Amino acid sequence: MSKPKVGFFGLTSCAGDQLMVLNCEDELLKIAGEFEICEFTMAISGHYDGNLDVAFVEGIVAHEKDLKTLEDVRKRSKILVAFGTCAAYGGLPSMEGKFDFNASLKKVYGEETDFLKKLGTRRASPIDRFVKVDFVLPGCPVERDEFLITLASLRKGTLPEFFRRPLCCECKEKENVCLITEEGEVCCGPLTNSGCGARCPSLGSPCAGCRGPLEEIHFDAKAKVYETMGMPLEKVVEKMKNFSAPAWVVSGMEGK
Amino acid sequence: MGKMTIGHLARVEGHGGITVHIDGEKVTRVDMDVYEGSRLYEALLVGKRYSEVASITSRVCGICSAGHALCATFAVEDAFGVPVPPTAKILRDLLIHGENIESHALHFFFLALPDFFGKKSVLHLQGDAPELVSAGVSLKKLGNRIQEIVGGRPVHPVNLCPGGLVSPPSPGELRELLSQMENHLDNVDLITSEVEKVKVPELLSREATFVALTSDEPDYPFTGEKIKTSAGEEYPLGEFRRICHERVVRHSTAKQSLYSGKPFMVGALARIVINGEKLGGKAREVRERLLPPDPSRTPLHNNNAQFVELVHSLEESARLIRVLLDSDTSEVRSGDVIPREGSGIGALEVPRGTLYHYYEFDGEGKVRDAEIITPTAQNLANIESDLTICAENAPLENRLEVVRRLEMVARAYDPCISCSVHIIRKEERGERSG
Repeated sequence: MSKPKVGFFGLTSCAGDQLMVLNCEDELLKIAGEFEICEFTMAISGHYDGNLDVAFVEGIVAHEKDLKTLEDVRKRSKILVAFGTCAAYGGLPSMEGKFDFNASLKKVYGEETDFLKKLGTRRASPIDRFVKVDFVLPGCPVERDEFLITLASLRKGTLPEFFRRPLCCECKEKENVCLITEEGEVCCGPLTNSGCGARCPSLGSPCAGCRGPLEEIHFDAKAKVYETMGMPLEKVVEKMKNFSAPAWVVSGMEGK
Repeated sequence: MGKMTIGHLARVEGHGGITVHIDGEKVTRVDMDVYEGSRLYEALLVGKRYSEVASITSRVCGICSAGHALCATFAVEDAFGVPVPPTAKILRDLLIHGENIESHALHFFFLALPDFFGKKSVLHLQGDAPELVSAGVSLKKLGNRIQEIVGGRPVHPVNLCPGGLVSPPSPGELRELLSQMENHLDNVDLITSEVEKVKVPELLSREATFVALTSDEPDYPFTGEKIKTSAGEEYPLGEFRRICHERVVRHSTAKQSLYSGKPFMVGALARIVINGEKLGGKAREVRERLLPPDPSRTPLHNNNAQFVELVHSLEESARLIRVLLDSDTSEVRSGDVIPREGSGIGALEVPRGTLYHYYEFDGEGKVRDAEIITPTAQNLANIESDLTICAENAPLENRLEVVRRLEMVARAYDPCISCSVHIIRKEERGERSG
């Protein structure tokens, strides 16, 4: 098959996921050889407005311009990948803080904020609120290996299947001490997508839930598990919402 | 009145453009436009526990995530009076150098260098400058490897905590890094010769004010107890707002930093202007080869200043690892952190310049107020001032040439637009561009 046409796009974001593409230092030239990188404004000058086989979209919609870009990219892409936790679940900018959106604007910019909305500022949202997402690569940032596996599959005209288990499975494989039972830490492992090799617990730090919630969570069973470990489920969900608040509203588990 | 716009500035982090306002044949003003959405971190932080602050603020920026996480941690430690064991201090310095190597390699080789060869990207540069491309790629990789080994991840570190680090790297990992650093250091002269061949064009010449942290210690500083200006004034960290005096621009959505009513520049060039005498070893030699004795007249020297710092960070990292390998590195974390009501400041020279984090905490250690001032926010007014001078000297009838020059000047600052946006929301004044 001919070289797939790909584009990398950043909506409002920290650019950490696009940076992970550039962090594939050993593979970068090979990627550029196997794919036609049509658009990647962070690294390549020039604009492209033709059709794409695959679009990797990082970030949240927090500005009218984000929405315009997202809708345009969706229209011209066969496969749209939510690239990272912000795009997939809303990420940190979508977290629920002490203030609502309007009060937050005032806190940062002062009393007069109407002009911000006129200019296009809007409340942060993950991209699936606006367009169809074909594939999710979670992570804050995405894991390099998962990105490369995804590219390899795309090159063969397919998408990879990552078996998403609770992060605890990877933690157990590493024979880590359980931070919930042994240290009483609020660890998001049981609810979080695997794929990072349990980076934080392996160092001795509880999982922050940065890879977002598993697609299907059996809450009653999880609550029991946490209960036997002496940890209320609500505390864990509250922590997870730092990275994926909008996903929890939709799942109907808001109150859990 | 006419205008010339660059819609989306490529090869920088984030979404920004440039608008040149022209009256007849005269440039009246140049704006650096920012169209990144607001993420409102300072509001989101309120009510969060002190232990979450580093993890949350590292997400302000993917490229200098370690810098944000460290700066936030410094502020927490300042607020609660948390001691940090000497080994952890060394490892944190190593992390700072790792980030500096990665970020400078990214900007110098991947983002800025293609301009000097008239190419679209580093991928298109392979034929023209194979040695530079290959050095850039492997230096960037080394910077990431340092951050992965010390910080637990190349982007958004997970191994920092108030009081030190969560877990020390193994001696084997440190030895792996040291051997890579030694290889790179052996190669520095060769790469410097290649960099020397790249001529810095005369696009503008002006006087500017520079600001950087400084210290009474003899080392070239990335942390320090004082803020120093190129005019010679010094301020304690607690007075950072005197430097970063923010001006609310009512007709746009931006706040800009001014010092004594004037723009100023932070970053590698500012550090070399202010602390350059403290550079030693190979970095000093490279500085003499790549920068004029007074490099302050044009921001384009910031590119080579970054390369000089890259060499310094390589030498310093190798030295720090040798110290670590000769000592017991098991103690990397002080005892329990006891929150108390009060405030703390963190200040750090990150790749693009001085970063400040300020927090107020309640008695339980929850954030009551937060303030983050990023380097690009401080540089913005100076970028606009330099772009204006550059445009005044440019042949306006040749659009491509004007665009090329303005992009080179803006890019030389290595602007990180996402970083700056929580305090800069700048759209063009009146009409939209881009």
